[in-house]
Parts: sequence; C-alpha cells; structure tokens
Amino acid sequence: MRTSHFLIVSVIVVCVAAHRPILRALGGGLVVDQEPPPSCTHIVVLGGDKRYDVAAKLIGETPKWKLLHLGGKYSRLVEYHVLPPWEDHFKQQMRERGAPEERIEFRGATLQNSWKTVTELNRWLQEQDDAGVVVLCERFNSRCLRYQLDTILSPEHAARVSLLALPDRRYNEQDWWRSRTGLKQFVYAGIDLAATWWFGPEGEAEDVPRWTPDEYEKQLRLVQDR
Amino acid sequence: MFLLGAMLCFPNAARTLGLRQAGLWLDVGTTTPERVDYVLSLGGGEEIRPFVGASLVKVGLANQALVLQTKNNPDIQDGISRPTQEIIRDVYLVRGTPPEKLVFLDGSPSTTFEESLAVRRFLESRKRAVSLAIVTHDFHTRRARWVFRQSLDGIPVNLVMVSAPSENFRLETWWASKQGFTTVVAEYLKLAAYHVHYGHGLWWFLSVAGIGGWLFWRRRRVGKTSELTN
Repeated sequence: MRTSHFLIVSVIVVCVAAHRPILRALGGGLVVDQEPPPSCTHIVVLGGDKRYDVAAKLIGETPKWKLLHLGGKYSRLVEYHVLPPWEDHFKQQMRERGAPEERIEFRGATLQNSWKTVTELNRWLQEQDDAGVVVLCERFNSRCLRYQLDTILSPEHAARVSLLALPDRRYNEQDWWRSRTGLKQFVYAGIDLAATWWFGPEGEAEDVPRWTPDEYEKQLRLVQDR
Repeated sequence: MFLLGAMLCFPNAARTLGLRQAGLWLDVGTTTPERVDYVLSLGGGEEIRPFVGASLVKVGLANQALVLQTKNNPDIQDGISRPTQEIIRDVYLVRGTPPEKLVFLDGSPSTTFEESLAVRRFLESRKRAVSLAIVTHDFHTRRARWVFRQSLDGIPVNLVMVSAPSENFRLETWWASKQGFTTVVAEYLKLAAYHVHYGHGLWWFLSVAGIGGWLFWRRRRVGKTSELTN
C-alpha cells in the first residue's frame, strides 16, 4: 500500500471511530459562552431558547441590573397590527415574568440586522462610561455575534460585553447531529459565520425597494384587465 | 476554493460563470398567476407569503385560501410567539379576505414535505380536479414544486407556483450580499438533502460514485499493465 493510500484510509478510520468527539468539537466551535463582565449593569436579550425566563431570573437575582432593549426590525406584521410593536411585546413578556417595567430601558432604534444591533450597542456603550452588558443569544449563533462585537467595538468596549449562549431544549453542541433541528441549526450557523466574516458589516443585505400588498394588487389587476 | 474566491471577488466574471443563472434557476414561479380554486401560503415567511395569498383572493384570482395548522416550536409553546396559523389567518382577514373563504387544514407540518402531505389529504376528499396556487419565496419555489409533485402524484390537480419576492436581496445578484449568499447556499443544500431523502438522489450519487470508482480502477490497471509490458 502506498503512503498516500495509507494516509487516506487512516483519516477515514479515525473519522469513523472518533466521529462523536469530532462532531462535538465542531459544534463547540460555534459556541462562545462567557461569565458576565465584573462591571455588568445591563442585560440585552437578542435571542435563544427561554430568553425571557433567563432575563427575568437574572433581573430577579441581581437588583442593580437593568434590561436594555435596543430596538427591532421593520415588520409588515406589526405595520398591519397582526403582531404588537417590539417594545410592547418585550414589556408584556417581562411583565408576565415579574420584571418591573421601570427596570427596562428602550433605545427604540430600527435594527434591520445583527450588524446594526451591534452598532447600536456600540453607540450606547460610548454614552455610558461604566456600564457592562451581558447579551443573551442563541447558542450556535454566539461565535458569530462575538466576531461582530469584536469587529465593531473597540477592545475596551468589547471587554465590557459578554455573551450568555442559551442552551436549546432540542439540541446542544454535544448531540446536534442526532436531530433534524440540531443539524439544520448547525449548518445554518456555520454558513452564517462564514458569510458574516466574508461580507462584513457593509455586505449584509441589498437595498431592495419595499414590497407592498397594495402595489402588488394593482399589478395583478392590470394583468387581469389586459 | 480558489474558484469560489475568484467568483466572489469579481462580480462581472461571476455573472459569466453562471452565478446569476444559479440563483434564477431556483425560481420556477410566477408573480401573476391564472385564476385558481385554492391558494396556499407555505409556512416560514409570514412577513410576505400570506400577504401575497390574500392579494390573490382579494383580486379574485383565487377562490379560497388554505391555512395549515403548523407544528408549534418552543417559542410558540412558551407563549412568546403566536401560532403560525393564527398569524396567517389574521393576515388574510386584515387584508380583506372574508372568513368564509378560509379553509383550515389539519396536521402539524414542520417541513415543506409534511405540508404537502396535509394538502394531499385535503385534495383526496375533493371529487373533481382542482387548481392550486402555492405561494412561497422565489428561491423556494423549485424545491416546493418538486415536493408537491412527488406528494400529489395521482391526484388530479393543476399546480401553480407563485413567487413572493425576497426582501433583502435579488435572486439575480444573490452572491453580492450575506443574506442572498446564505439563503441561496442553504437552499441548494436543502434541495440536495430533499432529493437524497425523499427522491432518488442517493441512487444517483451512488451510481456516479460507482462509475467514477470503476473508471479510476480501470485506468490504474491499464497503467500497471503497460508498465509491465515496457
């Protein structure tokens, strides 16, 4: 057997025999889970399973901490009153979990993507000299978010922000390949991380004119009339 | 890897290399369909798909709208998000669809394939051939059409795919933005996974791999024989 053949067979054997640790390491590579910074004063809820329960628990345990709501995306469902505005939704979720409204700060920014969110957080940190933030986020999205924070924030500001990567009840980095949801989330998070790194803050989305149902109906009627 | 890098760096060259076509190939739908009996907005894009469906009903291009009962994810179970079928129903109502034009279907689908099975059960109870418009995002129309054709095999139905636009990128230039890139790459992966899981993709893959392996073995054998002869 040639050396190259021996190497290929060895790699295959190692991959098959040690697939679990390899897959765990790949899953673990997407996760950044950190302790809150010593100067922590605020919690930002960006995502993750049971995020509002965790935020309410942290607020309950640490009386000096506050919740910081940076803003939300434009939503057609909000515009047509199918869903409540982001701020009302957030207030209601926290009220249901016993978090007092006076401990929530709203920035009210329109944040179309995660780069804009990080930029808004940066602005807020520049206004607050001694504030620290713990961000609640999806577990497999945490590596990507940490990369964005470290890209946009100065090293001093980045050190004042830590990520709490919330575990998902359906999968984690130890067993993601066993469920369809885990597999999908792992693949999406991997593609997202690579694309975030490649495109950077400027290449997030194209400037596409906003679609409206009224314009679409006009177009349909025109075609019908022809 | 080098080729991918080159394609991403030079958009003009990328166009000639077929990236544009690769994006457009995914879209097999129309935005202005003919008149149909039913319209169905697939789950997962409530910001736009049900709005398109409601417009079709409103202008008289669809007689009734099908609303699927979807599987509840953890956020819905915890009361953080509203159930998807409630959102779809409310979009139809807020856009002027009369309630009697909504038909609610059972099942708890969480994938396009499961949605197609729920529709099959509904159509099996129809006595005559019907026409059905399926509304989904433009990049999803090819996979959705393939899945529905597989699942509705033997059912007399005229399927019409309706493309709802992607709101953060254009399919013609998908490689120019992160949203476009991640969406199209993920869609191709899903398309491949669906062909392997629900179709004959695995057999195609094994056949090509088998023929490739046989050709490689044969070439090596011929090489060894000629070495011995010399």
